[in-house]
Parts: sequence; C-alpha cells; structure tokens
Amino acid sequence: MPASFNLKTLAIAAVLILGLLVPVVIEDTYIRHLFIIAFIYAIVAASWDLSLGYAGVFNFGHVAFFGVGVYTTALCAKLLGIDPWIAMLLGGAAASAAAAIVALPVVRLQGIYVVLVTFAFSQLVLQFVISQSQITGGTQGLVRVPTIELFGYNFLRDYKFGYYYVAFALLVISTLCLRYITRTDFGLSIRALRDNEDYSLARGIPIGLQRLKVLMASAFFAGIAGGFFAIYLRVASPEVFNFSTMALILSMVLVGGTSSIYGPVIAALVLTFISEGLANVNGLSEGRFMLVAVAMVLVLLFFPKGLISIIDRWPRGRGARRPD
Amino acid sequence: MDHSTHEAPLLEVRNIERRFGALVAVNDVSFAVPAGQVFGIAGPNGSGKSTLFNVMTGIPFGPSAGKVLLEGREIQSLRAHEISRAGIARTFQKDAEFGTLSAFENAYAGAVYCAGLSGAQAREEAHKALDDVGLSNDRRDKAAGDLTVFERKQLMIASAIAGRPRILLLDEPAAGLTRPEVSDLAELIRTVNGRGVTILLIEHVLPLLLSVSQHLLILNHGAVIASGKPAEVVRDPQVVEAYLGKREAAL
Amino acid sequence: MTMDMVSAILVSGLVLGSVYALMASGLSLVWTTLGIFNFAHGSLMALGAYFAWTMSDAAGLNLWLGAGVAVAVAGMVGVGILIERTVIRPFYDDKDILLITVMTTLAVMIFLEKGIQLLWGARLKQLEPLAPGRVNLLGTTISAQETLIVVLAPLLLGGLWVFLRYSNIGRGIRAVGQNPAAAKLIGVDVSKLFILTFALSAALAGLTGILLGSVRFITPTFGAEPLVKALIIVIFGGLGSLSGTIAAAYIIGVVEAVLIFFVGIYWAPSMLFALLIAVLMLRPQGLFGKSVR
Repeated sequence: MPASFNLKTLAIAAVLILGLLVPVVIEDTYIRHLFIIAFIYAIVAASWDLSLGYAGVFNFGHVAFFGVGVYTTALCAKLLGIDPWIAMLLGGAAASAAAAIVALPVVRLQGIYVVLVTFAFSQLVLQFVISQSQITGGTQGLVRVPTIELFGYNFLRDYKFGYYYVAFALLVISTLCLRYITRTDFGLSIRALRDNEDYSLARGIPIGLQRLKVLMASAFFAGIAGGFFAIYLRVASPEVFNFSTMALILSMVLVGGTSSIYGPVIAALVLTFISEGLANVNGLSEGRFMLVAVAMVLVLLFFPKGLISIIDRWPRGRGARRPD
Repeated sequence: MDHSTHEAPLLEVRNIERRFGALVAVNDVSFAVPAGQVFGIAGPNGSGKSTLFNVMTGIPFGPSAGKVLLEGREIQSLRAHEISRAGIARTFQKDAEFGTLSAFENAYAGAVYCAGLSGAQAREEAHKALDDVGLSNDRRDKAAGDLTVFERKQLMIASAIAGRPRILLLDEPAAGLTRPEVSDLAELIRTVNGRGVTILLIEHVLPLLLSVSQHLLILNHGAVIASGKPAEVVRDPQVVEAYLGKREAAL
Repeated sequence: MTMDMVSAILVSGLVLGSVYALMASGLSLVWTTLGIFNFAHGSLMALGAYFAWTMSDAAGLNLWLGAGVAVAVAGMVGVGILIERTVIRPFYDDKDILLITVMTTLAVMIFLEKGIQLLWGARLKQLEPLAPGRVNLLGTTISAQETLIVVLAPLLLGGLWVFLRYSNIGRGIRAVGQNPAAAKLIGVDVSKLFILTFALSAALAGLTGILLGSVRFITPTFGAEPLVKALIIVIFGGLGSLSGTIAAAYIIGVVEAVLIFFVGIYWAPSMLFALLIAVLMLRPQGLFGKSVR
C-alpha cells in the first residue's frame, strides 16, 4: 500500500523535523528541560510496553530497572571515573543484568506471582540503595555526577541546547529499535506467547527464553534512559524508585495504550507537560499524583486500550502484517 | 495410501504412564504409529486421551514413566518446545490459536519456530500451509480471534503443518462444528494426510474417526482396551461395553 | 551463641512475624475470595493509624485511644467499601481483572499516600501505646506494646479463623472463594460477600497500623515496608490459603530476625530476596501453595 506508506513516512519525517526544531524555536530553558525529561520518560514507558504490553509479562519492576541505570551510571562516572558516555551504556547493561536476575524466577511463575516478585524486587533495590549509604549516598542520593562532553563541547553551556539533542537522539534510536524488535520474528513470538502459552510451546516457541530476552531488552532501554537521567540532572536520588514515579510512567503506558510503542511515547510527552504544569500550581506538587492515580483508574474504566485508541485503532492495524 | 507397517514405526509409545498422586490417568499405554497413517484414538470422557497427548508433547507435563520414540529417538525428556521442534505438532480442543495475531502470522509462527525457517522461505511455507487447508486469501489478514469456528480449525491445522511436522496430533478437532463442517473437516484431514503427514487423531465424533482412520485404539480408565483395524475394534465386546454402548445410549 | 541471643532473636522474630501475619492475612483473604491482589493494603494500614491518631492524640481530638481504635476500624470499613465499589467492582467480568486491579489498587495506594501527606503532613507521628511499660518475654525485655502485638495477633487471627469456619457469613466467604459460580447458584449473595471481605481486610489493615503505630513512627509511607514484607510472605507461603500465609509470616519473621542478627539490617532485605529467588527456583508454587494462575 504505497499511499499509506508515503503518508506514514511523511508523518515520521514531520515529527523528526519538528523535534529537531524545538530548541531552535524555544529558548526557554525550563521548557527545554521539560522536553528532555519527557523524552527520558518516553523511553522508559515505551520500553515497559515491550515487556508488559507485547510480551504480556506482568513486569512491575520496570522503574527499578530505570533506577539501576541511574545509579550504575552515576557510580561508574563519579566513583570509578569512567567516561560518562560509556557509563550510560553500562547503566543499560546493569539494568539488563538485573532483569536477568529477576527473570530467573519470573520465567517459571504465572500471573500474580510475577507481579509480586517484580514489585518486591523493585522495593528491595530501593532498600539496598538506601542501606549502602557510604557508596550511594543513602536517602540524600549521589550529587555532582560528572557530565558528558563531545569533541570538547561542554553540555552545560547553551541553556541545555546540547542535552536536548542527546535526549532526542536517544528517544528516536530507542523508539526505532523497539519498533524494529516488535516487527521481527522474535517480536511475533512474544505476542504469540502473550496470547496463548501452551499453544506457543506446541509451535516450538521457547517461552522461558523469550521472556528472559524480552525482560533484558526492555530493561536495557530503561537503563540507558536512567543513565542519561543521572548524567543530565547530575544527581542519583532514591526518588526514582518512588511509587509516584512508577504511577506516572505506568499511566503513560496506559494512556498511550499497550502494544503500540508510539502510544506510550506520545502519552509520555503530553503527560510530562501536564504533570509538571500541575506541579507549579500551588499545593499540587504532591497532590498531582492523586490526579495521576485518578486518571489511571478512569482510563482503565473507560478506555482500556488507551486514549490513543480513539484516534487510531492500533490492534487491527498492527495485527495485519502484509503478506508479501 | 501406502501402509508401510513393516518398517520401523514413525512414532512409538512404550509403557507410558502418568500419575497424579493416587490417580493413574494414563496406565501403561503402548502403541506404534507407522509413517503415513491416520491413527485414531477414542474412549469415553475422562479415559485419558488428552492426558496422553499432554504427556507425549510435554505440554504442560511429561510422563511419570515410559518412553516416547520419534523415528527411534527418545524424546520424552526433551523440553516441550523441543518436542514440538523435533516434529510433533499438536492442536488443542480449545483456544488453539494466537487470538490477536493475524491468521497469516499464526501459520508463520509455526514455520519459523517449528520448521526453523526464516524470511521469504517461512512466508512461503506459511502461505502453502494456508493453501493446503483452504483458508481463503482474503481472510489471512484477519486476527485469528475474529475468524469463524471452522476457519480457526483450518488455521490450527495450517499453523501445525507450516512447521513441517513428522506427525500431527489432533485433539478433538470436530468439537463445536456443525454436521456439514465435520465432513469438510474429514476431507481436510484426508488432504493433509495425502500430502504425507502422519496423523494421530483423538475424536468423539465416531463417524469422522471411522471414516478417516486406518487404525483405531480405544482407551478406558487410562489403559488400552482394544487396538486394531477400525471395523474390527468397534465390534470388540469390551469396547461396545465401555464406550460404544454408552455412546449409542446417549445418541 | 548464648541463650540470651537465641531468646533475643526469637522474640524479635515473633514480633516481626506477628505484624506480618496480621498484614498478610488480609491480603490472602482478599485474594482467596475476590481473586485480586490489593496493593493499597499498606496504605490502608497507614490510614488506620492516622485515623486513630487524629482521634486520640493531644494534637488531634484528644479522646481516649479506645475511641480512636473504634473510629479507625469503622472508618476503615467505610474506606474498604468505597475502594471495592470504585476500583474493583467495575472489573469483575473482565478477563484481565487480575492485571487491571493490580493497577487500580496501585493507583489507590498512590492516592492514599499523597492524600495522607496533604491532610496530615509529612511530620512523624506516634500513637500512645495501648499497653505502656516494658515486659520480660523469654528472658528478653521488650515494650509491653510489642508483647501486646505478639499476644493479640494470634487472638485476632484465631478469631478470623473461627469466623470463617463457623459463622454463616464466614462459610459464605469460603464458598465464594472456592467457587463463585456455584456459590451464586445456591443463593449466596456473592456481591455482598465481596464487599464484606474487602471491608474486613481493610479493617484488619487499619488495626495492624494502630498496633504498629505506637512502636514505629507513623508517616504517609508507613505501610510500604510491611507491604513489601507481606508480598514476600505471600510469595513464600502461596496466596491460596490463610493458614499457609500465617505460617509463612512467622517463618519469615524469624528468618529476618536471624538475618538481622548475623548480617545486619542493611543486608537482611537483600539476603531475604536472594532466599526468595532460591525458593522459587525450587518450588515455583511457594512453600505451601498450590500453583494458582
């Protein structure tokens, strides 16, 4: 269908150009900051969608993988003096490793037990970080994390101009990678095992291995996002493990609709701005999370496929891969 | 059809057993399926037919004792997906599809993960399997969950044969079908068998079973009570008592 | 290792185990009856403690603590009914109810936590102990309040057991838990029992909060740590049975006390999790549980 293909290419090109133009048009540092934070959350939400939405693994430890990325990168860059760019990659790798540990029991469990183990894991990572305060800074967190440089360019200059492009590039690359993964045979197999476990086995799909892989892949992107978060804010604080952070990102996945990747990305952009906007309203800096909670319930009640589904009915479009 | 019964059997089940605590669901069952046959299995409800398929495929559990040999090779201790890849493709009575995947993707998954194909080859194999079962081209983009009951039966067979199995295990494929659809299914089973796929068929609908099987095995209380040519087996007094008697009474 | 140490470990394990048993039994009750997991259980515990504090503390209404307990329990029943009505009931017919209610009860947890913070502030609070003074238990001196917890927990849980076993409502709850469709057929008002069970579990959470609220400081996130421990317990014990959950609670309490003694409170949680993974590798269905989807 060349017509729709062209339309899609055009839309993607338009979004990319708009994204590239934002910091040229908008000089306000705070707005640029919001974009950067939104891009980071978008990566976390979209990668969560890979394991939760596509593979149907009840993974509620995703924000902990993000946190593992934050702390690994901060510690590697600050205490070990590793180049921050490399440290970000290590953040992704560490998150994948953490996911592998969680996957050990998770691939053998079902239903609610997967939720419980992943959730307990995320809380234990938090307790671990707080308890090892001589290294992690405990509840105070880790401050003055070294920041990135590229060809002698210092990213602290130009009102976050450079950071914006790094965040944008990370988001574009992650989104492309995630979309690519969902379109491979592997992507097909994880949707298959989400639909029907026993039938997957009967068609030769190794479900334990696929779950391990999908958890590691989805954690990797969250870890990289965490790494950049630490480098950009120059802080690693245990707040990243908060229930509030988790609720906010989960609401992005829900509002965007699971199994779509683009949905959570768009929802992350919108919700970050709304949430930050509300944070500036007097008395809502904490209260906004109550609104997030209400929004989550409302979406589940009235738009179980996500708000995006009103505009574009994803499941149909996606289910039909063109037979060549 | 070629009955090469003197060669080594394609599939052999030896003294297989499955216990759940004190309950013996499959009790010392042995049989051999020659290549190319349609091998029917019948028995009253709860006689252990589906459990037999479960232990042979390791989904969701293997046997407590005994051996399963595929072309002379022991497979009972392989993991479930490896058994499928080794060439045993099974279907289920219920939910035998990936509901949100398109019909094509259902067959494609079999071609990729069972037959180990990829890319164009896998797509070709998937389409060939869908052609074989006669699922029309314009239905292949539909989500499997949106297909009709009969189309889903076609699809479950297509996704199995797209994996190029040595043997196909059909578990009550006629369940939920209307009478004309059952005869279409019989035709489909003959077609697939005619393409060289050996079939092990569990079925409640006796006319179907008798019309397509070359061999019939009857289970009762988890044990084999008769095995042989279908026409002879159905006259076996033990079978009449255990299964057919009740069945006829019910009909 | 001296007898003193053994006694100290055992007593602190008993205190922990009692708190965990009270927490986890509410979760298990809701799971076996409604088939959902209530992530807001920890926040309900905190809310109960705040209710009691408001009624009884000098900075609040300054009434007798007994009034606080009564109002808190009544309040928790109300809150429980409200939660069941708004975020659980609408999804009973949904095939994804498990995943959806995990998310809605998480939302309730956030809502309560932030709501508490707005209403009562983030400052630490503490309840008057129901039982003041100190007591010698098995050669180890602990506060009378902790002793009260150790004594009350088995009484409350025993009461719960008797209620479920012998009262008509209790039998109804168990029938619904085993087979809701069949229970409906024989004329059990399933929907009423669901509300009742949830309210009962909320009241149990509130009571736990009150008991713990004079031993620890009450904060908006007061329930988070016990909730995580309760999670570990229900994973260990399997969610399927109340007795399995309670047994697991005491086992984990003692194991944690032993770990704290030998590796310190910093490493104990990680060790506990490592142990959990090890157990799950060997027995995916938990120590006592049947595998439940």
